[in-house]
Amino acid sequence: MILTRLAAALRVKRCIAAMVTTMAALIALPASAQTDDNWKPETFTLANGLTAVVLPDHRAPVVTHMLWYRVGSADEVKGKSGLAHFLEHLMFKATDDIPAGEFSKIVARNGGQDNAATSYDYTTYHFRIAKDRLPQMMRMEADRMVHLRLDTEEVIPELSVVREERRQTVESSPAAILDEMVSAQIYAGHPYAIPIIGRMDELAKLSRDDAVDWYRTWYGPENAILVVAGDITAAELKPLAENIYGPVPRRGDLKARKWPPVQALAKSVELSHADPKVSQASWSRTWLGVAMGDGDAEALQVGMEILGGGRVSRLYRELNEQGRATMSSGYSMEMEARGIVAISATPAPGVSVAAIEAEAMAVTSKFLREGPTAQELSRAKKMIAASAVFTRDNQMSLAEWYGERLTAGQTVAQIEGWEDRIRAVTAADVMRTMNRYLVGTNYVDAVLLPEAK
Amino acid sequence: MRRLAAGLAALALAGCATEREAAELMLPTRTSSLADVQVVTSPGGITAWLVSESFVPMISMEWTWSGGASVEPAGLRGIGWVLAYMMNEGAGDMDTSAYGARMEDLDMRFACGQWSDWTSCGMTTLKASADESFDMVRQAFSSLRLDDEPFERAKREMIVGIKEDETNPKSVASRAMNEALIPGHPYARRSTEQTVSAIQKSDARKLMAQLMTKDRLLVVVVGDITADELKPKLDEVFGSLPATSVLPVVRDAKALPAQAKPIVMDLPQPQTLIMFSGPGIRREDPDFYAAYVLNYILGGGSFSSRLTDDVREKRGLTYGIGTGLSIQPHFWRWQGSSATMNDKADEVVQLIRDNISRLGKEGPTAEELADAKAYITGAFPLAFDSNTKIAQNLIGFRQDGMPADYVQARNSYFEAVTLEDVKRVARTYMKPEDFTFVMVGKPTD
Repeated sequence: MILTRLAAALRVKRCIAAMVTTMAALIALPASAQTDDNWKPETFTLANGLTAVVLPDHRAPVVTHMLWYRVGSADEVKGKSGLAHFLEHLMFKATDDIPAGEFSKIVARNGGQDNAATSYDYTTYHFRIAKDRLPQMMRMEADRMVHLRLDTEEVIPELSVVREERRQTVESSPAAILDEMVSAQIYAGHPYAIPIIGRMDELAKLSRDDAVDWYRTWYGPENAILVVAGDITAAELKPLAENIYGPVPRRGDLKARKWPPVQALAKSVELSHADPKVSQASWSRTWLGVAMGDGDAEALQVGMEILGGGRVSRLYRELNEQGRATMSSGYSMEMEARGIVAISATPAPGVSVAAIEAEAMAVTSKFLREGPTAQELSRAKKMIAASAVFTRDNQMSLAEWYGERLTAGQTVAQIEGWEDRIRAVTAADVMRTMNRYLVGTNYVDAVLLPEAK
Repeated sequence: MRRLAAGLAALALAGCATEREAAELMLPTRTSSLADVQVVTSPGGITAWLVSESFVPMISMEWTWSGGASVEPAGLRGIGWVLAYMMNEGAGDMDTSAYGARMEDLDMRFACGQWSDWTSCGMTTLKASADESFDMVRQAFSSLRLDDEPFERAKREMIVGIKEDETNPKSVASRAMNEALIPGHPYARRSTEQTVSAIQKSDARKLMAQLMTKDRLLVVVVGDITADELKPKLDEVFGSLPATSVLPVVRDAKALPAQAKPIVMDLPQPQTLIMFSGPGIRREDPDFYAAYVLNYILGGGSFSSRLTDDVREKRGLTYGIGTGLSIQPHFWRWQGSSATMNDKADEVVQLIRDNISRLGKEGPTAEELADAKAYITGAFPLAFDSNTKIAQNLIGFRQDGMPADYVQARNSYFEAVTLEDVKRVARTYMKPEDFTFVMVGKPTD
């Protein structure tokens, strides 16, 4: 369940507040597990194709409203990398009725917060606000679904903003540069090989017309999923949605998404990136994993949790506690087309990269041979089920959990069944899936190295 | 779509159009308070703020002691971090593996950390295993083990972290800023491989007895537990702590005069990180609320701030620019940061200076003040929509010395801020010549 650098890089946000801490920050502890109760999501669909899911939580009089579009960077055409994310930025500019630069100011004036994010698979817009302001915010969201206005004098500076974003989040970070190199290899021939934020040279050439084309092709109610979490019920949301989103006409000529299949690598690839800003070398191995909703997903997740998920994982006990590594992790990340499985380790001072690779792979091979102990299996299943279901303590996390899965084509029933599927995983399932995905030559090794200044 | 459009136009012009909502689209809101804080005192005299809330069958506890890295012995800098690391690495008859496995079996989270003036911990547990989880924490404070393996691992990880900080742009900038403003002050002291290597277990035990006492303890509990259930737990968990201790006194830092030119720290990257710092305001100062509002207008308010408008929206020079009030107990500053491509760094520094200067001379407009107050008061409930967030916010209020009814009173302090207040604060603090700038990158390229 550790969010890795790579996973973190797979979503590009409109803004990351350049905040200065005003008081001592406290450790953020994830919420914990649950017992069964009567909590249930509610769903409905409008005549124009917009699907809505309501996730009630009445503790505070606030709501989190997320509108998800089933389009992401993986839908871009050759040479136009970064367009999905660029349009996401431009969605905050102006409509025929909202003057330039006013969108977020109106949200803030109403005590709300807004932001957006783009991934390979989806683009999502959200605001969090007091419940009584929700109708106004929904009108603005509906307005920019069809009436976005893009003026050149707004578009040009925003392109510079996105390029600064790339400089800040990728080009100033040696680890992020290496992550891009890994994706380019493991997904060679598939659009996931291209960075969500785009390549610098291609970004520079994006135009207002590109953005307008993108918007006209992909934005419309039949390509959108609405997730609202918080102090609201479907009985309250439905009339609002019918009133506000209901009149938005279908795009009508929505394109079907078409991606080439993800191809397994015929031969393993070794990558390295040296940078004077790296003080400690690190190593990772990345394999192709599973698509979101794949039947192997849960067993693979349980297996990776046991191998490298936390401080009782095998990698932690064998590497960190033996003084061989100062960091280790293992995880499975699911995406719509196909995800990845990865393990990584940072060798302790005095331990070579070659040694840590050999030791991490020895731990992995042993696990692939022996499988989990009964205790490891039950502990990992309990931990995963607990931590993710207790995403419920946080509206935003819960809405994201549902939105990511809904946009990937899962139904609410499938999403709700996830916990049961985790609990049903057997030792044999773990053995079978781990030996399906973590074997052969279908992997990319990546080494981050210090470089003499 | 005309109907929709008309509503939006009114909204955009009026800024706030609740009264314009059609009746059928109104959503009723409850008027209940955000967090109903009870002050609970145990038979043994431990006081906690409690919000009893049963929506999710879990309990979050956050607690903190005043006293942090700034009271560490200079030669053992880093010892507080190591001690905090050790708090969940074994207690009683459980070694690190047993303790870690037990935490996972109980689905509990428990960890501690240290900041310059505070040593803090957090625990989250299921309602169902609360007794066992509280007992785990009790054992950590009454019979901490400090075994060799985790102790050496903690030191090893800290030393690696120190090395990584040497090339981390933010760490480089903070160090340079501290050196320029408060050299020699405990806030500017750094841990090194030498100070961390020198740390012995006996030092850690001594520090634990000094830092973790009953008299400096602040506790907040949020979740599925009642006051009567909590009281005995407080004594159980914290009963073994010493009543009090003597801590070294940390003097208030006095900043050296601002430097006229930015301090440049060379780091090979295509972008320059800019950090700036000027005189700030104490939390206890009556002008604190006016300063907070002014900061929103300058750079605290994301897309509603002058700096974001000017540097990002108009000119596309950055992905992020922001400011904040840093209110450490012994040093209070007005701080901000941004990042831009190397050859635009000078231009961005000048834009920041210009904006500070204009705000100081002219002050904000009445509209800016109204917008800032509307956001700051209107968004406050967003900080209370999860147990974990409630607990973290309440412990922050306790650290600021606020009373238990602060949650209800807080917005009234902001509503009371007048345009004259904000203009006065702007005249006092918005002086570009008082700000020191640090640049990290290759800004001269």
